[in-house]
Amino acid sequence: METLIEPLSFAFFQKGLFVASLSGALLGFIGVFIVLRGMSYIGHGLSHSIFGGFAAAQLFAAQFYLLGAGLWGIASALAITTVAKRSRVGADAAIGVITTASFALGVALFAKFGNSGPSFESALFGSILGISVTQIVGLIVISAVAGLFVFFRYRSLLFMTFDPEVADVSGVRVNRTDAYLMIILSLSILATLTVIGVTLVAAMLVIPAVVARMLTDSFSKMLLISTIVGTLSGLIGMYASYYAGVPSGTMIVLVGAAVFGIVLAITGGRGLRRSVGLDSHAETVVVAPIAAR
Amino acid sequence: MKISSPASSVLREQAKPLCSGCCLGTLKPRSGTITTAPDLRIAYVPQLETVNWNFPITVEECVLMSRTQGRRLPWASAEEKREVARLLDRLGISQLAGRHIRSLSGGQQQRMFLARALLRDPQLLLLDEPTSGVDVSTRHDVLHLLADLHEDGVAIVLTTHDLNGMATHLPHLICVNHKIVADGSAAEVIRPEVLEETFGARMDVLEHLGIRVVVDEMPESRLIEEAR
Repeated sequence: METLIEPLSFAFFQKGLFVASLSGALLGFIGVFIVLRGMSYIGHGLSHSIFGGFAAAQLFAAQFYLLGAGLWGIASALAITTVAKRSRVGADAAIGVITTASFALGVALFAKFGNSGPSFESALFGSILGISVTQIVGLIVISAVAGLFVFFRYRSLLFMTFDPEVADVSGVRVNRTDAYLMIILSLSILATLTVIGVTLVAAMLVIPAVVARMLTDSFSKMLLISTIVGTLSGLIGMYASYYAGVPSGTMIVLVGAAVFGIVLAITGGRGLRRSVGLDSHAETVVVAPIAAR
Repeated sequence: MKISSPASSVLREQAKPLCSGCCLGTLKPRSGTITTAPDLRIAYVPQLETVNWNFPITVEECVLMSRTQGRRLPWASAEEKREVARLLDRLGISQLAGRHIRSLSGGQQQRMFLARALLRDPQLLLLDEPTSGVDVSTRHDVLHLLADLHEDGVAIVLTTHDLNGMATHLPHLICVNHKIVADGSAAEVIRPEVLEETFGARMDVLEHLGIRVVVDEMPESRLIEEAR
């Protein structure tokens, strides 16, 4: 009990605990859509891309670095979806080029000009020190927006995630909904970046969703379980990070990975079978039998 | 081609973009124009092979997703639950509502997608190879259901390669092979020369109890034997 209460006497830890749990919940929630659409790699790319925006924006206006990074992230998210849609082949390569170049630019800018925002290491691996009120408010607002968006667009989102072509035919505005989802994804990554870190944020998009997928065959339950797993990873990871004295992102991801291991051990082959095909959608081309028999 | 309300069938694979893409304006025709009624309610039943069967979704969730207009809340209203139950019942899969989609047989999967399409209360129903990979009894059920819907005034367009199981039973056929090869009733369209131009293979057409039966071209001696 003491171990749980003691760190709470520090204001920075209270803030950190709140931000980490909410970040975990938000990423777990959005991650379901990302993972089910086989877009895990986009999450990974986006976080790196946003880092470039992060570094570049603070050069020009230190106080607006979040805004700059956000715009940068949204721009790259939309660029990626456009590229991915135009030509299915080569989308991975395009993401690789756009986002790693952006990341490299960020590292170069950091190294050359230093920084006025969070330190280099905390940007990469997450830190709970120096969480500003703006960031907390931002995270709450983005979580609320994400929650409301999914709530009011639930069926369209589900339809489009499951079967984009038929959704399109059935009156779902696929392109628009897709763009909204990508914007919310970029903003979510941005809002959670400081606590979880550029290099680790993608893991928190993927792990809770995969764990949830192993536990259920129902979409609504997957959404719920993934959010809970994300929250718990954030919560437990924060304590672990406090006691181990390591960056918060690392411990949050490690806790998530541990949960994955435990669930894998419990569900065994069944869970694994369920998670099969999360990344590669059924694109089996079956030669239609010519009916002349 | 004017789709008013006769049930039509389109052969060959170019037909899929032809009917779905054009009706929606997602594809532009190379020539001619496409006019759709404003607020036309279209529902589409995909080919089973193109579906991601690993997706975590139950039959009930899958059927309900097509109701995107109107109600904004994620969960189904009591009225919607009744509607879904009625549809599943009509299609004979009500006992499967809570099952994961992959645990269904091909025929059951086809019925589920039909239920999803019908929940939209469509004026135009498009189906892509509705009888590929399903058993004979499902094929019969699908045909009867489509006939019922046709009676109710739903315009139906489907693509098929299944000449004997599907095409010969339909009121109107269009054979497409890059261009429209033939257009008319089964009696007018199911002829060896049309089939050869459509499929690029020679086939023979027999008649059995007033229904045309397409067979592979056989050596003459066997053909005579068959005809007897």
